[in-house]
Amino acid sequence: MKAFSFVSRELGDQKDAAMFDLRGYIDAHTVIEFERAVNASIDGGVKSLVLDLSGLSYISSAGIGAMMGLARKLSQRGGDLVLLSPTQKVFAILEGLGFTKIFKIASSETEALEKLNIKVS
Amino acid sequence: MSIPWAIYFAILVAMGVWVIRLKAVEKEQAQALEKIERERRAVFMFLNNLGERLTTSRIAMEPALQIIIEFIVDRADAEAGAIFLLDPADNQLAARVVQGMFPLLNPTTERVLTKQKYLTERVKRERIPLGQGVIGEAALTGKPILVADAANDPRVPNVTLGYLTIRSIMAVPLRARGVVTGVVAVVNKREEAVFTQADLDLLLMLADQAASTAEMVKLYNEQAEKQRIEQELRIAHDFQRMLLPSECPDVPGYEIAAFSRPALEVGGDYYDFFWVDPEQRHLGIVIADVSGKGIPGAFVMAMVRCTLRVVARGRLSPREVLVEANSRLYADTKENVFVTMTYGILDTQRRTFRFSRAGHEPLVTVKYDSGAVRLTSPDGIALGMVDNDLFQTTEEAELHLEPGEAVVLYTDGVVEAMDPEAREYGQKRFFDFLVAQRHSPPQEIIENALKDIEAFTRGHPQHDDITLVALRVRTDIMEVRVQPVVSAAPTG
Repeated sequence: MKAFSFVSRELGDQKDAAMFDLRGYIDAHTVIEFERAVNASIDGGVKSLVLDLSGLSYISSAGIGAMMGLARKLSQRGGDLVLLSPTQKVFAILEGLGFTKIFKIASSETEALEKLNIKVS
Repeated sequence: MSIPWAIYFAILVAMGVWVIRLKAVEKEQAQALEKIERERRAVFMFLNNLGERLTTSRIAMEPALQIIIEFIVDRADAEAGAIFLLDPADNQLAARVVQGMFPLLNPTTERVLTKQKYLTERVKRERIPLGQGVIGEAALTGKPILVADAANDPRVPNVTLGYLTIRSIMAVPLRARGVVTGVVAVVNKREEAVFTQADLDLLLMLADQAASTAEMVKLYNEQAEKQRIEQELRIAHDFQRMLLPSECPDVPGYEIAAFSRPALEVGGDYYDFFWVDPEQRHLGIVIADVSGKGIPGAFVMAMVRCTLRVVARGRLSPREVLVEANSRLYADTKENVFVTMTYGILDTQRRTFRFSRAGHEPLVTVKYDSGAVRLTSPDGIALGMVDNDLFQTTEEAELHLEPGEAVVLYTDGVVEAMDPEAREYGQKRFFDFLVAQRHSPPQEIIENALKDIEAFTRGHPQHDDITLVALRVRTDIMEVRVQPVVSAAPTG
């Protein structure tokens, strides 16, 4: 299995939201690939992101730091970040760090879209 | 490599001086804070500037390629030439060096390009997607291209300005280990002549030389970079060892031991002990895990350590200390750096351990007789990530310790240690182990824990640091003077 991969697509009717389906794990090495992908998306005008974490087996502190940076960057641009369906393991890591209070977490795509105020026609 | 060494030595000396000064400063509580803030910023700026200068130990690619393109243009009897390198990140080609009046390859209406200097700069800014035009096609197909009659070739732009008109052009891919890394191109044979197959054959041979030179420079720089990183890690490693206590405090009635082992040369873990009050009744105990590694990680660790030592002085509420530390670290650290920490205060007389947990692993205690395990995990957020409005939600817990009871603090590297099948050592095995070891002194508990982790991981390389702090109330503590305390310590 590849250490880290992702599939991305646009969300909603506006072109400023995107969903990243993350697979594998994010550690100090794969975080670079992750950051490159989301930054390219932000540079392309995306303001709100949903990260589908259901296929992510593990995230290291470097990965969590990157997500925190991402959340801050998006909110500065008037957007937001929502984490979708983290596995038990990843949720436990976030919870231990106290970050479930910081990140918006959704358990379905509909809920994620609601948290971002995105309308789908 | 003598210049970087001198700079590294300067870093080490500067950091060493800084640390020694901090130690002195800690004694003068009143002016300490302001002074530390100032020094911290100075060291930070110093490191930032150094970071920029360190890159100058590389061989610059451009001068090496410039020599090659001058040689090629001369031998090919061309009016101009350029070497384009492919950026694998976006699959676009850009001219790294240009010789002569090399024309723009994308159509333009700009008319300011009469000076060679401006034209060269402009050509270097041009980005050519893989597959586009003569250059893009040569890179994509990996095949050389000879256009003898450019005026009638759709791949070549029509430029009306006389000196920028392309009459004929040759483009040859550059390869390193079979992969196309760029393209060398020459335009317009001198004396109004036209490039022929013989010219192309010559260019093919020269291009091969260009490619291997570029590759050699790249490999050299990669090697230099590798050495630079290794040196950086070694220095950060030494620096970090300096920051850990050289020995555990000797506290009557208690036994204390600690251990830290970085996974790589430099880790992000640390532990610390210090007396909170001059009476030496309250002992501050810290265990922490900084999310960054290398010099930045070691630097954040140094920052956290000194911040904590300063704000902990005289404060009997760990929560209050962490809130204060967070406000400083939140302002000073980068947005993607955070620190998990458990900070506790052992009241050596009341025999209590009061602590807060900034996103760190839970605190575990094991009773001497029953082997009962207590896991305490008050709410808390990692340091440096959120402002104090949110960080205020961090809680505090207080445990009363029985004679013989052990308190164990650890970092996630312990429970996340992996065996070759990617199974984790895990809390359960760790806690079972602690129960079995509860009659041993802390030093032995730690030594045996490391053996147990090693037996579990079976030599599988670990990616995270392992840090353990163990404290045990002596079973004969009652013989030590224990004074009843009337008023509880103030809380934050």
